[in-house]
Amino acid sequence: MSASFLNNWETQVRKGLVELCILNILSRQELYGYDIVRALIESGGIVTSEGTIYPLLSRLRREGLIEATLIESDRGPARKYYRLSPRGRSTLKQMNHLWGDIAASVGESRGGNSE
Amino acid sequence: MTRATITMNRQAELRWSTYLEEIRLALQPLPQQEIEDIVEELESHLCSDVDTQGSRLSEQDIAALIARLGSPRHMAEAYGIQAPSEQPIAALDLALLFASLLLLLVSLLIPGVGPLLLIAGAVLARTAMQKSTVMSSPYRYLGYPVLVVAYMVLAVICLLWPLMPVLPVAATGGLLSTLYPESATSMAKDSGQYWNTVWSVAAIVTGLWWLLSSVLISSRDKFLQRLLQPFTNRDALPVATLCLVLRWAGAVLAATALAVFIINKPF
Repeated sequence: MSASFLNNWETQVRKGLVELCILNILSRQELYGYDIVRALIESGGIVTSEGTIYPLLSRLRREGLIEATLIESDRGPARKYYRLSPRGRSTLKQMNHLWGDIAASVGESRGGNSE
Repeated sequence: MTRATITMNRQAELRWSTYLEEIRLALQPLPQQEIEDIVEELESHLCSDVDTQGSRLSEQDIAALIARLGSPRHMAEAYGIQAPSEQPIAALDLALLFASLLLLLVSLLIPGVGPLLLIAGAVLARTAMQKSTVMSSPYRYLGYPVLVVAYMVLAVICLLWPLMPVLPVAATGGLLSTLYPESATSMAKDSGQYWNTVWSVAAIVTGLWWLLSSVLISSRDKFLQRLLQPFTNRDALPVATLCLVLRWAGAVLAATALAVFIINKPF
């Protein structure tokens, strides 16, 4: 397997999963962009480039899965706090269910293969 | 409002504002409000980073933060904007580039209007370069030859202009008779001693001009950064180093020329 194939595959997998991770993080508490980035980094380095979180947040907001509130900060510009919308919550439930199925089927396809 | 609470040095501030400018440029296809929202998010990210680090930001800190945030191109791709190199060249960019090349040719063929056309060509090329999202390489100025020529001419004029009034006057024999009426008659205009003295005077003036330039440049840092932006690829220009080089070169040139002048003894 070539390195470029592996890199490309990894990027695709990460891209698909970061949205799920963001929604899961926001299902627990309301956070602003920087905190979401920190949480993602702490959860095992699923994020390679911090800046790309903002486009994802923007897309999730456009899809109506998350909502944002601008809160003034005395330490710089106003911070945009994100939380899960009711629609996001039900979508997240389905996504987690789907991910469970996918992870199970990947595990099954591997069988006893530990490579 | 935004930057007031962040402490960073001048180079770091320049690096950060350049990055945001590049982000704006890369995200141009998006609605303006959305671009401003993104930039505000990045400003907020920076503030949070400062809060975490709790110290004054250096240029290295900003460079590290930018590396973590990702390149403007990378971010544009994340917003679903096609990579600049894959975009068709905008008709306006191409037209401006051709117009500037045409002006360069005409300016070479007709010397009388050359300087004016060269300036117009350089302005057109610089506008095209700023609007273009096609070439993001550090050597993108090579795609705009008229701009390179105009800046080279400008650099030569800025550095060597003191020679321009001195040498023509000297060629007519008027320089030394103006400076030292009694000695000029004793020195033949076409003698080696005469021209050594002329060159010495010109070099002393040039050296002093370089010394003065270093002072002027250090007080006009931002202007110089903006002027040379097409060639620095928006990185911070090492103005302090440039001033140091000019100062030393000016001092050495003026001192050497003064020594030659004294050895020549035109009096």
